[in-house]
Amino acid sequence: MKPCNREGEILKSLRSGRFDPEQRAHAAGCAACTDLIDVAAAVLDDRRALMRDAQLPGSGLVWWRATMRARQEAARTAMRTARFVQAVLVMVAVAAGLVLIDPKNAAMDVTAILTSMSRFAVPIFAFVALLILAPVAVYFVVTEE
Amino acid sequence: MDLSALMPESTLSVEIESQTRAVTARMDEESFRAFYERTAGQVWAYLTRITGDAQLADDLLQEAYYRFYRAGTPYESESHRRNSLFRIATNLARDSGRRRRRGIDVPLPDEMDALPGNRDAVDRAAERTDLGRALARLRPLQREILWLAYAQGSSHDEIAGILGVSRKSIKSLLFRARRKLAELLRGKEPRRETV
Repeated sequence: MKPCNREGEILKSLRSGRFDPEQRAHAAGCAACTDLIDVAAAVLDDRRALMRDAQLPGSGLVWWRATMRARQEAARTAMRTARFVQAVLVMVAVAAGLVLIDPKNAAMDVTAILTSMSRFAVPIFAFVALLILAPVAVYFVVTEE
Repeated sequence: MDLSALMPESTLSVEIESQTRAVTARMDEESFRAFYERTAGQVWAYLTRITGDAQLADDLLQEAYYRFYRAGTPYESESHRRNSLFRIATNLARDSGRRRRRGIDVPLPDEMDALPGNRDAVDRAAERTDLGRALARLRPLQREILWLAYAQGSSHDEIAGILGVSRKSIKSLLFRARRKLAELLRGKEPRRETV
């Protein structure tokens, strides 16, 4: 059996429910169109019956669930990103503290400590910049996801 | 140690709000609900027939609309939007089928419990059961193609887009699937497929 070139036309008539006698006569003698009519009519009828009997949740409920779930996922994403940034900040702070606090210099006055800190101007500057920029970075990561 | 506690509460809530706004801006409630009202029945019928399980279709339906909402893609037209939804539904059904890894049981429709005096309802239910059983004997791709082509009236291009198969193969796939379903509906054992 081969496809018939009138299938499109037959299907269109079947869907609209308007079969003319000539199409009926053709379909009766054409195996491909007979298959098409049997299958398409059964499927269309089944679809109509399923849709008629479907007990679907209301659109308001589906919308509410979708927005709540989206909100929860957004919160989870934001928390994950924030935790990562905070972990980095804490590690940097601990590292900086270990470098700056030297037990031998515990008795030094403030001027001496500041002089000592000036040796670490670059890492301190980087740390402060990180503290300022981190929330901005988190904002962009979260909003672009 | 809960590091999130170190983050100022206001900063975190602003971020959550901003992301939620970005998501909801994609489709407002009114258009989402209107789209759902227009399409939910069609998607549920499709999912019911391609999975063979009405209860599973209930779950997949809600998941499909959530993913559609979450994707937030701008759409050119209603049919583009609808095809995107059917693509999501198809992928969910396929994932679910892979997870189950077992044959599909076709549940008897509720109408089988109809009163014996109501011959039309009983006959109709029997026909639907026949179709459900026949569809269950087809491959998932064949069920999907037949439903989209004849129940949804999708074009070959649309079917190719929804199912992720080449447009060229749709015609022959549809022809073979139709042949097989027609034989099953007539109570014949379909010939073994060569492809």
